[in-house]
Amino acid sequence: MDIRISDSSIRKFLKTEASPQILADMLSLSGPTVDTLEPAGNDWIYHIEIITNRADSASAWGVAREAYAILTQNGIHAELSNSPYEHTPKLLGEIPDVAPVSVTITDPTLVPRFCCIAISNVHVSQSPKNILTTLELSGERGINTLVDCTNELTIEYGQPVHIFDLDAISKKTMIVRESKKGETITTLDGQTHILPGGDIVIEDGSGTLIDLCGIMGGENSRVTEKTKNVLLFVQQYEPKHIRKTSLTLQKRTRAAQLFEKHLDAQLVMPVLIEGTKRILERAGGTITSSIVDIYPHPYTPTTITVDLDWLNRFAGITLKKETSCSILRSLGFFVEARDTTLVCTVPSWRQWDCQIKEDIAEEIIRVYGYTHLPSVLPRTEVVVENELSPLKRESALRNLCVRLGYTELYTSSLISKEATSLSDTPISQTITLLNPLSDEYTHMRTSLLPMLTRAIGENIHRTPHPIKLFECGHIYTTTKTHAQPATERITIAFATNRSSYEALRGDIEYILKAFHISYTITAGEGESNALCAGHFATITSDNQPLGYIGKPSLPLAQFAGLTGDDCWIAQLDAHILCEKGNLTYSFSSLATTQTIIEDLTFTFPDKTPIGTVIGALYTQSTDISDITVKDIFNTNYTLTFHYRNTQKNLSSADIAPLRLAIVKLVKETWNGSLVGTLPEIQA
Amino acid sequence: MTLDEAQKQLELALQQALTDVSRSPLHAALLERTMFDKKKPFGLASGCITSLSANDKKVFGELITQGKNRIREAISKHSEAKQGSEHWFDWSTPGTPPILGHTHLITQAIDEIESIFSHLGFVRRRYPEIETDWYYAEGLNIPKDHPARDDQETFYISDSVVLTAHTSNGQLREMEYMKTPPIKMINIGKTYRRQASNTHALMFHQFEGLLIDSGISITHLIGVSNYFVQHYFGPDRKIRLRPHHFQFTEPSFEVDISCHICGGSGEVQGAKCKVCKSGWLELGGAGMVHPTVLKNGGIDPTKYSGCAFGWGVERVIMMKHAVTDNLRQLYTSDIRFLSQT
Repeated sequence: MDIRISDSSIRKFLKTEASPQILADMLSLSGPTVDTLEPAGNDWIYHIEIITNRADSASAWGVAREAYAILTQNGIHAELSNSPYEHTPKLLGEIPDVAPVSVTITDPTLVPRFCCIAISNVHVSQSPKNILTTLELSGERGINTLVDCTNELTIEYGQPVHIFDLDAISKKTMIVRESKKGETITTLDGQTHILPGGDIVIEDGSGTLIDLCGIMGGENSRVTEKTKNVLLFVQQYEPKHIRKTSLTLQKRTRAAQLFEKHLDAQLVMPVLIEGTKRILERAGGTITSSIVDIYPHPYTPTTITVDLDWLNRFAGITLKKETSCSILRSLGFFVEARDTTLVCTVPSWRQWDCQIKEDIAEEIIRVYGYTHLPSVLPRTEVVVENELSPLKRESALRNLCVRLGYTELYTSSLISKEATSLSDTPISQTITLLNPLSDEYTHMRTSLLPMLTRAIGENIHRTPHPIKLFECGHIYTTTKTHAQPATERITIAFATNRSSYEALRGDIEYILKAFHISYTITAGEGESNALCAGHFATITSDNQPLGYIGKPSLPLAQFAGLTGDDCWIAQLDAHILCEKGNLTYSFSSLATTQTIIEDLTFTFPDKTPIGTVIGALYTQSTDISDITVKDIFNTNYTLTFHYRNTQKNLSSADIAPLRLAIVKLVKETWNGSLVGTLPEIQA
Repeated sequence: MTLDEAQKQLELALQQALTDVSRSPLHAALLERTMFDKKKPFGLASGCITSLSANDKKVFGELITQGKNRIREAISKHSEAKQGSEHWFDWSTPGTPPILGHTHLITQAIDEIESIFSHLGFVRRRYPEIETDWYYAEGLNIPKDHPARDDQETFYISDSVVLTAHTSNGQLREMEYMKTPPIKMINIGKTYRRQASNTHALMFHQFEGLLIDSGISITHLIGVSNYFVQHYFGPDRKIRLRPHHFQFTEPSFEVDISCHICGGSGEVQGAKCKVCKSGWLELGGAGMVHPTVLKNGGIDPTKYSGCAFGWGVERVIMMKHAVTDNLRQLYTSDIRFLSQT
């Protein structure tokens, strides 16, 4: 919660020589953060960020209270005065014993405390300039003397105050209850709200709502310059109700932001007293009722015991008992110092955020100053992890891809519905957001390829060079197990352009071999949303699907903005690599025997899978150490054969039968023919 | 084919080869390979040998050898001539820039962060991005309807399953996994916030540190934080703690890092520092693990204490590299940007 408080309003409660700058710096280090300090004529405005559990500091009084403790601990003289807790009903003198209104609270849990008092014959006008200025400095505008008074009180004490035109409350009845769905109220800002139901409201007994409790008063009961009789109204509400209504109606008033946090019910009466006094001073009139105070569960103090040894261990330094006590007392705690412990009584305004010994420790140490704590590295035992983490293999995988010339990309885990249609994962397994922010990001991705391929399209005009991109990240699918809400599977995808299938396949096979993953590549069958039918290959490992390589399908190419460019894509289940992969090197000694190299050219019929041919030829003899495709011209394939025996140097006589076997196999299995004749055997 | 025909073809090819050599700018070694290549005229003509009779083959074979020798002679004469003449080596020729692969800035940062914390014995984890309500909020001491729950800023998949907006779910998961302290975890993963802005992205990365043992104090949090900033940003940097509030830590802190320009003073040569304005830049949140959270993780809060922090990966990248102050820029697909790493 961000608030603006003027320096002058703080100094109503705090006497100190410290400048606003010092105050701001000291507060930020040990208390509420002052985001900025803004000069405003003779005054200053502190823009303060109030943290959610410290609503007690969301006021001039609250800030003054914090400042007092912090300044004194730091050796800067300060005095705290004008505490509201000193205001008792006695200050108002004799007042009539007449109830101002008849109050019914249908559910006491809705209203922890309800206080009001009637003041009659007031004269409502405009507030004097100094009050208007103070209000403006805190971000409020002047309305009239009475309303300004309530706003002033809210700013000074952090306790919202409301005022009703008493004559506008027909039947002088107030029923505090939950709203029914569909009920309406027009609030002070002129807006009419249809209530969702369950909102805390006050009804005047005739069905008319006169207050949207904790958020904004009703227009029908507001105080104007014509008002003669008023009901000053200070109360507290159940925080969850206020928050819900305020968020649903998007009405984030200062009062709402305060009431949705727990406030100090002990502050309600003092603020009512102070409010009454101010109204009488500024608008005249007389008190014409008793004080209504419905307070079903009055505050009872709680104590927290803090062991001093524990405190020192927790802080990491030795704190003097006297220092801890003086800090706590300056913050309003009552402390009984015993030999080894401090028994601390929590003041009413801290009952909500001080409940355990760690809360007390925070109070002591923050005011003492976190800057006084030394920097110490922990001495702990080493955490032993026995296996090489899959995350390390994943890191090695990324590095390998970079070495292979790929540039890494990060794309969003959230994609559009259109992009989802380009994945082969069924829509039933795709995870959808209940509350997406836009149409672009509605589903969790089940494939990395759509956005990666699109990145190729986006980069084509940015560089003349071949582009090689990869992304390694999760894809997300639904699961059936209760323990894990979704499956997050680490996947790696590649996209290249101005390249070839052989080049991409070569990179992928290199990776799989580096990870010692056994794999098989076969013709891709059937339809795919991502890949062009008949133009992709499937990779499996131990009969598990591992991935695929191919050309993008037409829809994917269109999505990616590719037009006839030579793009090849691939995706692998990186999880398998990271779980099963083995990165240890296996070295083999270099051969001492010689290799004979020769080219043989064959003509094959159309659609002969050359890779399969080569695979089969390898198996003909262990003396064939390598076969590569040197050249392809129409249906003529020139293959380079490397012959080598590890034990002895091969001669032409040794190779001759191999050649014959090769030619025979090619002819018999694939109907391929040798071009030219076999080289003659040299004697 | 007759010997005569073959001879004629060879002669023609030879003349062509000799002419090519005299005109060629290539090196001697390359020239030789090119000239004798089977697809080139001389190589093709030599190939005619296969269609000749055995006797003719012998004759033709000798002609080929002679032809090859003449070509080789011509090549070596040609190279000598080139070296001797005004063949000048242009030292100023610009080098050809290589085209390399590049690791993403975010991966580099994650690796660096992991490495720094591993010096201190922290173990790298990656916990789920899609989480149940318990690990994401309730177990972290954030009950339903609590103001600290920023439901409007969270993506929901179902009533009780969210895209996590912080890596703190890792705290509970790690405690469950390890069961006994010492627990030293660095959980780095993707987080999601439902907010639209020019400078904020829906998805970003956070790193969450968790240190639980007996006797862990606030000074240890300061020590570990200082260690990180000094190794990641530089030895002259330091952190400070300010009071803050999170439901899952008590006390909670906002951690600032001293400004690299003014060193924490807020001033540069008497004028206000333009980068930080106050001397300090926000790094992120931290705190001592709330005893309720320890209990929820199965750790006895009477025996153990812990500290934790959760900071943004992109934030520290942008603070270190001054590459951009717009987080979305880091996720660009533009290869010209990515190639800078």
